Amino acid sequence: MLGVGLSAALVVSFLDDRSLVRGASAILERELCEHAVLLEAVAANTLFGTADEPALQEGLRRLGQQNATRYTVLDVRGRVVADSGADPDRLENHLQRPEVVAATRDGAGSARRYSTSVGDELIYQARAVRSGDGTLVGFVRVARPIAAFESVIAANRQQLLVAAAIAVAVAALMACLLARGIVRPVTHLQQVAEAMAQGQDHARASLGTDDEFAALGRALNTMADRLQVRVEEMRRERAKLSAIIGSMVEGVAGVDAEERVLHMNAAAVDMLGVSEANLVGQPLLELTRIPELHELVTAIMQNGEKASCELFIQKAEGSRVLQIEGAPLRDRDGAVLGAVLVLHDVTDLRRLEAVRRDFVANVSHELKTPLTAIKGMIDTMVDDAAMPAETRGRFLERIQRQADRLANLVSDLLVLARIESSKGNEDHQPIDLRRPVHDSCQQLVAAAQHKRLRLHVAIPQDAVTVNGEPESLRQVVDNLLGNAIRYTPEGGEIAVSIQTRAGEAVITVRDTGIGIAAQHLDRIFERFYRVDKARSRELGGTGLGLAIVKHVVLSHGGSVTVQSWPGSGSAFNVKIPLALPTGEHRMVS
Amino acid sequence: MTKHLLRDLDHLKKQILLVGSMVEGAILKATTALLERRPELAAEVMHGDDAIDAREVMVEEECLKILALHQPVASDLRYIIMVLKVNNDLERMGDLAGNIAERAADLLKHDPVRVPPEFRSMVETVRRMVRDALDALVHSDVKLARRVLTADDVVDQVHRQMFREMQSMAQANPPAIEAAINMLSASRNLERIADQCTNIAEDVIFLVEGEIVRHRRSP
Repeated sequence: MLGVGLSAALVVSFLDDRSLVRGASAILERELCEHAVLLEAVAANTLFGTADEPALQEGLRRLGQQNATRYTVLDVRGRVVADSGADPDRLENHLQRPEVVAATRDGAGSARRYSTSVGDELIYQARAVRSGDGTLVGFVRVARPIAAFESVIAANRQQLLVAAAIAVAVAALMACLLARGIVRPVTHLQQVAEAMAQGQDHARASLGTDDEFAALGRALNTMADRLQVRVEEMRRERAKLSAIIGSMVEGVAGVDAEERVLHMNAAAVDMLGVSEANLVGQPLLELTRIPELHELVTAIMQNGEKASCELFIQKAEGSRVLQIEGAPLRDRDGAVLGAVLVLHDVTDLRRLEAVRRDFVANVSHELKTPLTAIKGMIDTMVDDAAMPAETRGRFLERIQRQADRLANLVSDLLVLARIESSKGNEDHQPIDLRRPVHDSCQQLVAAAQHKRLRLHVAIPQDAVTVNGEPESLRQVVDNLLGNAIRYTPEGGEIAVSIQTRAGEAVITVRDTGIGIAAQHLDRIFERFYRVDKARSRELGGTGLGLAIVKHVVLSHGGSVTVQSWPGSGSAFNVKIPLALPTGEHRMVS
Repeated sequence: MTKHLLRDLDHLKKQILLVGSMVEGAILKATTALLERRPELAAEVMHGDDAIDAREVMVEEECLKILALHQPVASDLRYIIMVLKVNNDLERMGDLAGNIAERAADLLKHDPVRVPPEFRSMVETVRRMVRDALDALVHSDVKLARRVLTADDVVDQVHRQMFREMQSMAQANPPAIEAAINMLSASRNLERIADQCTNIAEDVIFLVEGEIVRHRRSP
């Protein structure tokens, strides 16, 4: 702005200077012209033809001094008759001087050149002098040094420069004022835009005046408002998504092309046993150290197709089976950017599948074994009609035993089926839990004594009332006590007790038997699950005892737990909620 | 050139980590098979050893390739030397895990024997050491590596205790002598795994500090 003002002033002053010079020389020329015309008029009548050249010379010299002008008079042939600035005798012929040549041709001429005779740069004006009849009689010439008017111009120029400087200063001042008026709103808008870019959502342009800048500011503010709404929408959307993914039961993990984690929800972190707090950007293999996972991801990214695998993961609290589904992560052009993994914990599912598969196989197997024995013995008896009565008796005895076993098995299955199909507990009634426990112990004490086992029974003095079905509960104690007798070596101890605590009756059956290894504890309540198949059958179990226990206890709203120390014994705890005292019961109803 | 080297080193890191995680898994499974009497896990470990061996060879070839191709110097060279050594240690650990699995399979053929609580804690300590050693390797964590070095003393002590325990068990119950020997063998293999862990830890310290700390530990 300032520069523009300055250069404008300079141009103006330069132009002024040029026109000044031109104007000044024009004035000078006109003046000289007047002098020349004057001189010509005088000369036409008087100058030429007079013999008094020295007097003429003297007159011209004085005139020249007064006017600071050089006057020259030439005759027709160009000889200097008189000159105010030099001795005419010493001057050469002037006929070829440009101004004289021009005057000869046009009647008047002018020139500007250095004069050797005066020693200065002069501006000349020459005129041809003609007599009354028009014949050329000579020339007059008037000259003035250029320096004379240049000094005038110089003085003028100085004034002009001062004026220009003032003009520049004024222009600069005005430029500054004007610039401030324009620049300040621009700077403000720029600062606001930068603040927005840096993420300051609430940065807005302040609209002072009502001009183009205010319009721009308004546009900027509108844009910022829209942007903020968009950003807010996106933020909400993202929060919603991450909340959904975060609260999923399935684990979700995303990795990029370098197998670095992009995202991993809490379930995935838990399933994979990742302990690192800062997972994003870490290589998956470094975090999990599960080679199968790495292989799955590599396969997905190489083939660009979905893939899945099942993982066995050993953790401190036990092993888990994870089903992992993976799919490639693609950009808009279909290039593979990474992979997304979804993890399901299928440990329970796999166990249930195994249970169901085993159940059918087990039932058929369990039914077939006694049937095969019975059939074999009957076939033998049919074939051998002459069988001794003693052998026949032994065979019949065995057939009877196998038939009993079959009957036991079927009745156990029926019990199970009944418990499973009975939904409610409509036939439950308040009973004294001591009764079934006592009956069961009474019945099995003989078997215990037969194996020389010591049986301790600790039953409280007061009635222990629960809501239940006495026959089923008795079966629970029968089965637990039967197992204890079966799996405790001779000379061992068995303790049965009832306790009440925290609103529950707890029946405990503890033995000093062979115990159950830890990996079986989860499964012993499954149907036909046997820790040692051969041994269990040999000891006469149906493989359904504990399954019945579990089902009965569950139908009574209770729970059953087991603790075992392999080699030194087991303890089963059956917890059944106590019935509310009758008084309270009435109040409730 | 440097970019290629960096990429190759990154790949190498992934490879050695893969061997490490396979070995870690094998040790976990072998000890689980022993403690929880699960023959299928023991079989899995015994079959898996070939895969570990194949990976070991791959890592070694990768190291040689990088050495020949890039002729690395200073810390890159140290890193490759460390990987070579750790690779060796890991392969050995894989073999030891296989041994434990064999012992476990043998033990599972017989009646369960009482597992001394010391042995359980030893298994825990060794699992922790393996995890720490690999974590130290992943993060170049010298502090963690030094912790592995101190943990080894505990394992040695428990192993000596196991020896006395099994001796007395065999004396008290001669039929259980086979189980006692198997148990002791498993314990020795665990103790060796712990030793290999300290080797890895020492290699990590060498990588970070350039100082060879072997044979320098206070007795």
